[in-house]
Amino acid sequence: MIDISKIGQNLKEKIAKVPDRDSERMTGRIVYTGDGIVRITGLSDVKYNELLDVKGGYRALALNLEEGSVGAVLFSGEDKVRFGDYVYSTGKAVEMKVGEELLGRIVNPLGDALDGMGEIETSQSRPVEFPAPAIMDRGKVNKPLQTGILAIDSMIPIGRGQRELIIGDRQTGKTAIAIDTILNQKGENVVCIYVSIGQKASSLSKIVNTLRASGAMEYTCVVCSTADDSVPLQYIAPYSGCALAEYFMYQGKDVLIVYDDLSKHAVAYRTMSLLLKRPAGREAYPGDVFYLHSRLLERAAKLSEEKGGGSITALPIVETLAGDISAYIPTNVISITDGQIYLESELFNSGVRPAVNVGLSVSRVGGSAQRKAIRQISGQLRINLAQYRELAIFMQFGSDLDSETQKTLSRGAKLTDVLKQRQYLNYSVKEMIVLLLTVQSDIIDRIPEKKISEYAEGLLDFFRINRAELLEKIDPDSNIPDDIRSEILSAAEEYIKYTVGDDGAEEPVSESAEEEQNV
Amino acid sequence: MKRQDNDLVARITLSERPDDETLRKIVEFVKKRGCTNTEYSIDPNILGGIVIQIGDVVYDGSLRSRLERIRQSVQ
Repeated sequence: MIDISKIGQNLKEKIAKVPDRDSERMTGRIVYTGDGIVRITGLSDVKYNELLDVKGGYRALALNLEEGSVGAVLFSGEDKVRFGDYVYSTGKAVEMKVGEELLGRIVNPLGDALDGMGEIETSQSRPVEFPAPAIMDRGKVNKPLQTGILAIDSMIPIGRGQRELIIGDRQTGKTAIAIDTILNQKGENVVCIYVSIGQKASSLSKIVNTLRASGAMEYTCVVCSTADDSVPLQYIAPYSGCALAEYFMYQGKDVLIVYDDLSKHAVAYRTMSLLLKRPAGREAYPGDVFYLHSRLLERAAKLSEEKGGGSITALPIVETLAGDISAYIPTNVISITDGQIYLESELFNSGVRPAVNVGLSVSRVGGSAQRKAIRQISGQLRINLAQYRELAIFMQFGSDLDSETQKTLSRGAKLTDVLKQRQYLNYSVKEMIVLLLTVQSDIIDRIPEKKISEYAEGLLDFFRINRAELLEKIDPDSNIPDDIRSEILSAAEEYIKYTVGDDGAEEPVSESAEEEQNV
Repeated sequence: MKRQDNDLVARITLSERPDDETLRKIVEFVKKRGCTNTEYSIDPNILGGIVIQIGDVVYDGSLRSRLERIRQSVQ
């Protein structure tokens, strides 16, 4: 029910707050407008990146300061501003509303609500552009950020405060990995921020629904600029998201921020630059497109204990064309980040999901942040997989294979199968330990290749229901003692007979394993 | 940027003819800001009050801009 008297009261208060008159203001007048760009004469004291007030309540961002005129981009009202309109300088930079109130909300890059759940009342705001933490203020990345995805947490571990790029062609599950990671932060005391840059509104609404349905919105804020938002809004979206992340980081909290995606951000910036008549460089991007992303990603950091120990973990996403990671924007962002998760459409289409290319994916700092037990048992994983892939290529020539080679091949195929994981089905650290121990033991040889996925998923259920006390006993932060290891393995062995049967012999299995992955 | 001499004309816009007392106050206000030349115009569109522009600086005390601000704040 709408309370009319309350609305009246509210209006009265608002009007009372409006100042009687302006104090002196710097003004200029619009001498050119078109494509969301305005050129202004006057405004002799305007600063770079200053927020401008255009007559009629529209906002613009001063980007080009030249002799005699100022070039600015409009956040809104492209079709409303007219030649000769007054423009006022505000003396302020663009600011983003920050605060706990934004959690669970969907906002635009200026902090205004887009979810129809009422205005967001915050007492604080932060400048959208802000210097990155200084060298001495930074600490060592030493705590893991669990994605809940076995392939990533075991081989490409991510630490809190790290910047890990997710790169791949369209439709390879880049966003899925980021969303899975957000979902996995439930109860982990990590604030999540999902920044959408120039995304389709339909895919964004799907993401928001997923987050809502699994209760992840409680600790998540979605900063969104969709494809039909003005280009300057798309341009500042990641910086606003980062400003919000910094608010939490400087309070000592851990933050995860996803930039989806930076290739569209670069395109938005290119649009603006070309319209502002800045010189075009390679692929028509302006000269400072590297700085565009480097200054953004430098703001993700782990703070030292003296500074509160907070962190921002950044997961930027970059879309490649036809797997070309040596294009301009991908190489730039690869060199800025602390590693990348490379997704391949070929793998994706052959059913390996998440489609992580283990050979090309690296994590440059996450290793030291990995849980001790995981590090102990996943050390061999990469090498085993690499050996398998090398042999698998060789095998295509169809030569006779000795039994040792055959064993390596079948183990490799099974390992690959275990690393497949359904979307939204995250594993806990302890479950990962169980899986990793099992697939690297001899037990795996007794399970037919086609049954391995079924076995792996069933094994975890078996542990959760029948071996809960054993799961409880696993300590991820120390090496696995031998007695627990053998207990896990004997439980895994026991479970074989439920899936495969008593003999456990490798027999041709007619029924094919169910298609496990969602698209 | 250094203000050029020709900028130092105070452009004063009013909604109606001012009385002598108001005029005296305007001249005093403008002189305090180092401006001797004044240019008056009457524009009923500002509804009421006064707008003074000296160079790039605008002192906007018009009723119109006040209403405009109220409109924006309750939007």
